[in-house]
Amino acid sequence: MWSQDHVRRLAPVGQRYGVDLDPEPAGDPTLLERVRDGVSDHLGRRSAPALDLLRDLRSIYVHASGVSVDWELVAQAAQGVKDHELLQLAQSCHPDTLRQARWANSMLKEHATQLLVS
Amino acid sequence: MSTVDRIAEPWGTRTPYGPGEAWPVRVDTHLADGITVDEVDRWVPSATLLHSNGDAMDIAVKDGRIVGVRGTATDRVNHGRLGPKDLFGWQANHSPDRLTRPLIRRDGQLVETDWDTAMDAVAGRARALLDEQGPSAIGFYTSGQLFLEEYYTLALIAHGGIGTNHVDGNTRLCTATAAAALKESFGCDGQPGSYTDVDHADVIALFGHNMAETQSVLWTRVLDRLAGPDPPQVVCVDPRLTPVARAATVHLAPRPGTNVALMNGLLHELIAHDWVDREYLDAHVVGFEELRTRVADYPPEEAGRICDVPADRIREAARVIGEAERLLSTVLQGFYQSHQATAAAVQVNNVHLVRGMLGKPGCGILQMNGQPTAENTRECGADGDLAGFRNWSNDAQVADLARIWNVEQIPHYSPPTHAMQMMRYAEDGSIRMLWVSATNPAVSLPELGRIRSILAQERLFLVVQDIFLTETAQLADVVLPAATWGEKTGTMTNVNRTVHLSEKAVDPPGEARPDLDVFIDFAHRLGLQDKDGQPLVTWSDAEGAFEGWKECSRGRPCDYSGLTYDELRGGTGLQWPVTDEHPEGTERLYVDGHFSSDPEYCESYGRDLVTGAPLEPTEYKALNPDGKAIIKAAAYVRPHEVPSVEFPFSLITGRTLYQFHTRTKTGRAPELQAAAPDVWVEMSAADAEVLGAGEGDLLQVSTPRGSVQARLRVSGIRDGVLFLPFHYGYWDTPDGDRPGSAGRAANELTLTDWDPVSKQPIFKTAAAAVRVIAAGEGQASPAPTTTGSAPAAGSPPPTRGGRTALCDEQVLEGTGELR
Repeated sequence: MWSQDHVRRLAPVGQRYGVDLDPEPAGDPTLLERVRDGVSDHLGRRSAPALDLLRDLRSIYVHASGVSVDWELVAQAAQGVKDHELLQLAQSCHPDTLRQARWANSMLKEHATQLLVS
Repeated sequence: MSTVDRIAEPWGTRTPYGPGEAWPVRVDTHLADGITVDEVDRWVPSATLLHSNGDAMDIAVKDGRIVGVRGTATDRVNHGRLGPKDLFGWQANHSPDRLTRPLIRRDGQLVETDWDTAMDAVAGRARALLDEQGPSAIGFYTSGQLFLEEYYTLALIAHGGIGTNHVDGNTRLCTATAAAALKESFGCDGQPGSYTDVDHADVIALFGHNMAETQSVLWTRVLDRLAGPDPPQVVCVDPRLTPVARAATVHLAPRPGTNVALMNGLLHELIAHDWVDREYLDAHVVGFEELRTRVADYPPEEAGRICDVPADRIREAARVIGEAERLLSTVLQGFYQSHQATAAAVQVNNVHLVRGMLGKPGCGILQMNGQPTAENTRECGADGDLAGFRNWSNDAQVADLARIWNVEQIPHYSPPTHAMQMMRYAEDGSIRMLWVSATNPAVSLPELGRIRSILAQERLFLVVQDIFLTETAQLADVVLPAATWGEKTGTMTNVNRTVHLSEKAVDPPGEARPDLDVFIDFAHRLGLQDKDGQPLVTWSDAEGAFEGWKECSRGRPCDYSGLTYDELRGGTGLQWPVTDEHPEGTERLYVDGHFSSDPEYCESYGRDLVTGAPLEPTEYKALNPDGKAIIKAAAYVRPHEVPSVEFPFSLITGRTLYQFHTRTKTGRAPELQAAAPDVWVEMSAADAEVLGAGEGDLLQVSTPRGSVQARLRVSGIRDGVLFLPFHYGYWDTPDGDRPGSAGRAANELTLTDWDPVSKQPIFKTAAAAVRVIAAGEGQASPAPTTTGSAPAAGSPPPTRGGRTALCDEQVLEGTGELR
């Protein structure tokens, strides 16, 4: 939801730089659905879905960390071209991205032992 | 002395009193038909079991049998009063279907066996799993109904002996958010307020708390204030027209799942009108600026739009709270079991911090719980916390606990596994033994179809320790018959930290044993030892366990070190901390702005209120180096499941005054069962008209998970919302442990979802559809008429108890000073 909100807020600014973003983004189906699939009991009761969960959480963590770096790049560039609106946007959205990364990291710590050792 | 039908009049006779006065004493007594007070052999001190209020009572014994109860006049909690569940619930002890012998599954059937065989099977399986997989294979799922001594012993066995993180209980469904919200705001669990704040408050605000039904004696205290001179104003947040809402000065009925938006709207108004104690904030609180920024987005119009509450009503409620001089707030399941549970409950704490109203008479927070000893699970760590409110993430505190238990180490590499996660691990096969004590997850957990299929797996070794063959017990591999309240000794601590001793009055039936004895027997059979090779559990009875707990709690916020069983026999319970310095106990925590939140001392470093990710110790130290209270803000986010075209209603589940949990006891007490005999569904008059349905019509309520059939009560609930009581499972139906042709348990419908901070499952936001199955044709809905399910249309017969529900009430002269 945060990510969708970020795209929505970036869309009008993006036009100034010739970047065409969907102002009404649908939820990113790939990651969400993969996590959902991972925890789905329809996959049967075996260890494979548990490992899928770890893989998905790892992927979310890596992805969010990358976006976090992107926000830093955007903020640096915005300062360079004195685009205060874009700078403010980056400063406002970046903490959400960090929270997403931290969430994924905490979930990994919480589950790794049980899922890997049992 | 007067005689009152306490089914028809659940709160009994008014004894009005004014602000600052002592609550008058009224002694409530109920004895079995034909028994008089003179015929009672003994009165044995105890406290109430079927809710969390902790009312002191004496159990009447005649010829070795319980024959009734009487409220304790001298006790600080109830001043002699008892609620309907206390007055009638004791009869379940005598029920002919009590479990009296252990059962073991042989060729698919549960058959009677002896204790040695049963316990060898349990300990043998545990040993085999420990050898093969290790502690991660074993989970414990306990209750809010055992005694402190039992929880502490279980926590020692699980955390100190076996070394598993999989320890939780039914309290996850009831009290987890209370604990989490207190940890977020004050760095540590522990109830700030006291029931005596009712005596002083000029405003009482109840947030998602139908106190009239969940803590009926505390509500009696409020009713007596309302009937007296200079009564308090009442603010009520509840989508139903409960007895609390009927008594309220301002009633807000938000759309389910929007509590954070509503609280942010209220806080917006408090700050906008400068109903703010700057001095208190400067001296004792961190985080106010974040709150101010956050709630700027929630003017009453915006909050009202999200919650579907008139903006002016939010303003009016904020004015009542903002102009209060002595504000008491209470919070329960309408917040705890709803979307953004902890974030919403924390905002109630924030109201008090912003207003500087804490630690003074009438200025209290009561983050409630539902079960009689939920508080003890939190203190002792049988809910996954560490004993003595110790911090899982603080190595020094964990080492201190290992020292007290004389073990090498307590594994704490990952946080405690919460109930829903334990079910998931059982589902994926990594938890292979689950020991359920004194609770009934096959009716109480969400999405029952899934829960039943998990518990019924052949590869899961399920142990159930209970007093009846519950829905869960019917799925077990081994069933252990337990003794219950009145048949064993131990302590119980209520919502406002009052400790009572509940003494053994009679022998348990057949071979049933106290839960404490079962746990100790297990530890010995498993050969659990301390680091010197001595038995890990060093006590053999309840008082020994209590002495062990006193040492464990010494110096921690929940300090029992100054208490003894003998002191608890003195005619009133005492509020912890009870220490050599404070031998009479402690009425209010956080007096003068002193908190237990120092980074080295606190129980928790806190979590992100939206994602649930924990803060690192260094972050907490930077945020709160001086151990102040912590204001945490949160934005509203939408619930995961919202009404749609296909499922246009919001479904909330809840409880009624006359039943407790899954009715294992109240369903076997004739007066209580008759007052609320079967499931019903509530709907507003406007929604019923659109549906073309009326009182008593049989409806089918469906969600993507399942369906339930129930008779309609057109009640004062807000439009667009359906209410189902969750008490009604299957033990008294032909199918026993699962639905036959139609579902009856509300949790067939609820979703697998939980609060990210407290991990409390969500029972108050599900999207549901409804259709009429059959006309009522004169048959009334089984819903009580005296409570939140009171009719808004039609004229069903009023709820009455009849002759056997008559109870004595004796109002004693004087000021109510404890004698």
